[in-house]
Amino acid sequence: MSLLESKTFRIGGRVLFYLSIFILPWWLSLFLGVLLLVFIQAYDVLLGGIAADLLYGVPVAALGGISFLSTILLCAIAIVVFVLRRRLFLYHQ
Amino acid sequence: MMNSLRPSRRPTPPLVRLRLLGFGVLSLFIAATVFLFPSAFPSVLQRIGGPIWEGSNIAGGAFQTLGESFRSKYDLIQENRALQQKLADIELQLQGLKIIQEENFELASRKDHEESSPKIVAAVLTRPNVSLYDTLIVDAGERDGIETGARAYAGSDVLIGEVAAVYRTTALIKLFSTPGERTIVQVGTGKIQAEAIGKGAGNFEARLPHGANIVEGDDVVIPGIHPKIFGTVLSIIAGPADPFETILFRGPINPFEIRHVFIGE
Repeated sequence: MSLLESKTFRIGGRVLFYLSIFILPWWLSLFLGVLLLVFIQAYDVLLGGIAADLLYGVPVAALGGISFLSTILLCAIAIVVFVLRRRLFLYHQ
Repeated sequence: MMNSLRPSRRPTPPLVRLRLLGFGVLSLFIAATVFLFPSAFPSVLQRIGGPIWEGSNIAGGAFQTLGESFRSKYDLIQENRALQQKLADIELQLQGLKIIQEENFELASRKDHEESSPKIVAAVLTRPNVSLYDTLIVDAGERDGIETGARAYAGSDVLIGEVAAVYRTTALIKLFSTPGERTIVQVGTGKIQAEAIGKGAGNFEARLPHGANIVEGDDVVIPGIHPKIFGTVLSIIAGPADPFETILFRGPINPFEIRHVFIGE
């Protein structure tokens, strides 16, 4: 069983990601989220994006008053990963 | 001939379909709850976050103390000398400030207006670097008498933002430097009124007509009987064909280093 397939990695990665939303800089949380999306297709990281927006979000006037920046960003990355995952060499056994 | 990998045509397994369906239902549930009960999830998340933030602040302080204990003697001597020099400079400045302070006190005492509501002191739990937003979370909330719309100060008189949401034990403060946020300010010694537009991370921009006689280092204040300090002019951009000049300024306190805020009217 490879490291990516191990339950410890999948659960540990998620715990680290959800904790990072509370304490780590946003770019580190985003990096962890992208890693989880790319390597284990953990689409539930979108929930982390929603949580970050509900915790810290305020309407940003410069972006038309939207207050779901993290969710939108993670959704965009998730769509790219979903579209590319079957075409990338990384996912071929 | 160019070789490329063909996309996989394997059908989606039933377990994956079930997971996707579950995820879709969960997303719909969250969307409906956020729409119908906007403060339900944030309240729960703030309750979860409270102990985590407090724990990380304590751990951060402990690591800082540990790091300081490993510093070399030479560094400490150098720092001591630099601080002594700084202290001497500040003492000189303070002498000038005392005269101004006395004058200011005399002028203020002539006015009948007095600030009636006391300010609440709150510790900052998260700073803007934790999220994509220019917001702070502080450890005072509904139980401490904080209300939405109350003003937040860093230090006694530096206005930095206002309360955007209040929870039981915490509150979310929206900084005036949030991108696109507009605030009426007065710039320079001539007190020229302008609209400060937030640029993020404690930075602002304002547009003023040419000839406003604004110079770098001028103060920017919030108008009122007791003007509140808002920032200091850092740079002025003026094009020869532009009838306006762009003034870039920032608040005197770095939002990434704020430890306490005062909340009040």
